[in-house]
Amino acid sequence: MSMGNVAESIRPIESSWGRAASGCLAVARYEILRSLTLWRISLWLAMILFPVALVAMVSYNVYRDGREPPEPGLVFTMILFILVPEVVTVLGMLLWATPIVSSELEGQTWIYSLVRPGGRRSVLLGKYLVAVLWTASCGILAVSLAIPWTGIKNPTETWLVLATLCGLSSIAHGALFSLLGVLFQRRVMVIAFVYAILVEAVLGWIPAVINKFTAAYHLRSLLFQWLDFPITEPLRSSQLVSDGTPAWVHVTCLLGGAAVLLAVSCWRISRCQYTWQSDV
Amino acid sequence: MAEAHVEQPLLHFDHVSLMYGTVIGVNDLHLDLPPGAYALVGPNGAGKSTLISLITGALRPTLGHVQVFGENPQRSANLLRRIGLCPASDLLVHGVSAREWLMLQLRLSGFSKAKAAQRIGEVLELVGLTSSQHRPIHTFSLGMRQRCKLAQSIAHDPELLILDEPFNGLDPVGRFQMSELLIDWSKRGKSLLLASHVLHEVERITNSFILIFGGRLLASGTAGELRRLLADLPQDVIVDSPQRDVLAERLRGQSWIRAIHRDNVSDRLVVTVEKPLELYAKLAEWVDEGAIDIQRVTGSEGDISTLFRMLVSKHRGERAYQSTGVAS
Repeated sequence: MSMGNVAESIRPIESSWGRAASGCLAVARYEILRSLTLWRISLWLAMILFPVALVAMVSYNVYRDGREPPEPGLVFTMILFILVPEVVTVLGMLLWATPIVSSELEGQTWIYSLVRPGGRRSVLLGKYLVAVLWTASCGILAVSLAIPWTGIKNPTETWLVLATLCGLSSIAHGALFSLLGVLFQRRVMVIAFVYAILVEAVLGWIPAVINKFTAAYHLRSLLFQWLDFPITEPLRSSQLVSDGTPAWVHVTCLLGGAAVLLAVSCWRISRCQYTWQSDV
Repeated sequence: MAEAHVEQPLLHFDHVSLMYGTVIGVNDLHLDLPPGAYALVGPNGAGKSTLISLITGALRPTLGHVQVFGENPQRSANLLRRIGLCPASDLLVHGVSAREWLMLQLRLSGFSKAKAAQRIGEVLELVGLTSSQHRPIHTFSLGMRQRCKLAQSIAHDPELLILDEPFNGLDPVGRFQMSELLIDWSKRGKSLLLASHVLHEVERITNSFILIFGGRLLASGTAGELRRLLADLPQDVIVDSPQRDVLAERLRGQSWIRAIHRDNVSDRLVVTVEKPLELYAKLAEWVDEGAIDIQRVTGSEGDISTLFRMLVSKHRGERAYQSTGVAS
């Protein structure tokens, strides 16, 4: 055996930005390839079908006597909103964004990313991208399949709004759970689950100013604004939905917040010393 | 560009210590190495992998500074392009082929897809995995996974190749091929750091050793330099003579003798001596005079593993006699 030199024509990309983008896309491609397993696809399908099944059951009960609820649009849209951009997205990110680092450490593959220029950040951003793609596609498909069951009068507009909210929710929650994955090396799934329950499920629905710091508040506010739902009492006084703040502010909060969280994750991951070996 | 690199030392450890909580990983390590091929030798848990993690920037020293090619590995991402690492841990990748995995590694090193594909073909040929390139890695044998790990470490043509226990899991043919490959790597003027706890495997590849134990540097240098170092250390010499008692009586009066033991084997003396060269000279003199008949003298400098045991023994504060493992 003899080792040949790398020819000049196949030298690597010199630009760090070009390398970062290439690395990020390479990780995303690799992760998609790796995740095309029966288990993962089954999980993805289950997450699509469970909100659809719930909405179908509710719809059957509501319409079975030929009666129609006073505001089917609001009721079914809220059910869909809670089930998909809130529950499905958070669950998806819990499964796919949280173990960004821990899965690499457990699989003993982290060391290979460490010794590549910008490898740590590429792994983070590439895996984040894949988590957003899986979760957003899951949410959008769930909304698409569930809306025909609801009897909503403006299905296209509702679909457009909910699909956009799925995308925004995936981006924001993905960044949040990625940061948790970067910050905590051990028991990260437990920590992320506790976070999801305490912050997204409890804090996000507390009628007080504090819920404004959650992604759920901004998503709810956008839903009400974009679908022109009336903000009546006691919704107004409970501060669960913003009254008067422009939509672009909420979008900026979600996307800007995600960008800041990802920047913090990138900073942290490039400096953190994760331990993966027993040999001291 | 390449000429500028040549001037820089390969590794510079400036009194480096690293703590894992209250456990010492590396203890006040001071080391300067020019480019070349080195064997990093120490028993399991000696700190070899920790040292490698410091070189690759995976770990930050608690005290002191590490420089590789004159750069801080923690701060220079570009430095990583000059380093190839084949870690000791097994390659546990599921659901992807060797080719796909290598593609990821090369893309992370900055290669475009087309250029990476070209290089992967070359490197798979080199490690003998061309026919298995589309097979999922988790179906590979341990030896094949080892070769796959080697392929990713050399694919981007680094200047320094670091291998942590590269012979693990390889059959005799694989070990020979790996040795040949590493010898070829060294001959090309590239640097090599080969961590192993099996000395005889690395002696074929390089003549420069870094011996560590308990996170401390025991010694470094060529085998010759280390043997000269050994000559200055107290060590055990085994002397087989039918006149064992006469010999013991003669040796008893010498100032450089620390201890004399009668071994269980008949006609054998185990002499713990502070100046082995003095002993050899004196024995030669007595034999020359015809005063004593000596059948065999076995010193501690027979191979590098004996030297290593001596140094570990010294580090532990044990008696040299115990370190050779000769029964009393």
